[in-house]
Amino acid sequence: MDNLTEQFPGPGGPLAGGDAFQVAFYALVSMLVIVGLAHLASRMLHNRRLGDWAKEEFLQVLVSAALVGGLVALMAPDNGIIIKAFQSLVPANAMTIELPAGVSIPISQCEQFGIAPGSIICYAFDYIGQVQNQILIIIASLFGINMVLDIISKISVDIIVVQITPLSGLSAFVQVFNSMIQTLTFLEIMTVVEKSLLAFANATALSVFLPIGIVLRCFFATRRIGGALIAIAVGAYLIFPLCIALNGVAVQHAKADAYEPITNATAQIAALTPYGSQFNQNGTLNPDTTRSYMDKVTGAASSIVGAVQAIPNAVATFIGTMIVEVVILPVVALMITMIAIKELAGVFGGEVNLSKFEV
Amino acid sequence: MKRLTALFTIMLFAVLFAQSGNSGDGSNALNLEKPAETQCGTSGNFVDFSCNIMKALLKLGPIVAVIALIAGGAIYIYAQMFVTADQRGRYQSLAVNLVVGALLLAALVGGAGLLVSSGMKFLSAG
Repeated sequence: MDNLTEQFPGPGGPLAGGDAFQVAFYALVSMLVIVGLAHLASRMLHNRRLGDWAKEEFLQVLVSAALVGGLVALMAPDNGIIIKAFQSLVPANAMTIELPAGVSIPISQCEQFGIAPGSIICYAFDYIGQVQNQILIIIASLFGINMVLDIISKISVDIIVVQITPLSGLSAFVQVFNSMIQTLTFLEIMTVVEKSLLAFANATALSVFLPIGIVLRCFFATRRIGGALIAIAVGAYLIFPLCIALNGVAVQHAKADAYEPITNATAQIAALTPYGSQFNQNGTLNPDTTRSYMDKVTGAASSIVGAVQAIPNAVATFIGTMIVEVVILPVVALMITMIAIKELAGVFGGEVNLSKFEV
Repeated sequence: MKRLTALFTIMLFAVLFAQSGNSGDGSNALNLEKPAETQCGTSGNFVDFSCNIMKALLKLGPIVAVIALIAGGAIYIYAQMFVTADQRGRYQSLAVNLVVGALLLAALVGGAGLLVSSGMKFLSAG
């Protein structure tokens, strides 16, 4: 049991981590003594039904104990069967997502959120975190491009009674980029939702659902609800994160293409931003400053249009990939988790009858 | 018989509640092979509560087993000495049942920790 408590340190609280397995141990031992007392009572009172109940409960205690040991062997974050199998199947760098050159972000945020490093939840959490970073980088780049494009597209020249806005065509790009930023923001929110779900599973599966489930499973009247809680714990801690992590392995190679046109456009537009040093030094209202800025804009107009034209297609491809990755696949993962919980609840909460070899 | 059963149940629960929430230094040191030596905490949370229930049952079990053994022996002797031959069978079977039940109860209480810890290894790698 000491090993069990070390394997599941968990967050604080009366039912935290290893304490929870202690409760399960206490419940199982208590149930064994109650079984013994019931058996003695059945012999004293010649009550055959009570005797049968005692024998059945004895078997169920052994099954519950085996379940506890099996679940620990299966779900332990450091050396559990599932994490070992996952690590042997997935290469170490398979989850690393390509980011633009010069962008540096912390790879793992697991410890920051109290998730055991190296666990399945940590793999899934880091994967979603990297996807979120990708989306944020694209949003930030599009914001920068859009801001400058909006200003440039509204520059107009008054010639007596005629007002000419030579780059007004760029406003079409501004509108497209606005809607793309909105979609990307929605996707970013979805990644936050998924990270919150994973953090919730990490905080509650082993320290709340699993121990309460094991304790309830020890007793005759609450066996089904106990099995359901154990199934929820297994689904939340194992199956959902495993599906998310495997999604990351499956679709990770389809994303880096969006960076190149955005990087090109950002490089060209960066020189045209009106918030640069020349305006600060010379003053915005200085005619010479404004004229030199106008000259730069008009001179670079054709190359800006060329650079910006490549962005919508690249970002649309990126958004499409992200919708699959951040919306559709997690929904499928949730569906798989729900189905698994439903099936496992029957297995964990059912009576085990060894004489007929049926569960 | 129903009254006896009810009395027995009430006594059992009285002992349980009297024992729960008693001694311990809060360390919750768990001994797998000898769970009766586990030291329960006194903070009153669910872990300590269940620990105290387990300890109470582990104290109650051997007491009941010994009482049943003695009662079984006494009934057997009583049947041999004071009961007529046609009634003796009933008493003897009750005595044997008490002795067998007591032995089983003692075995379960004594081996509870070992049984549970062994059960935990059924589905694990070791």
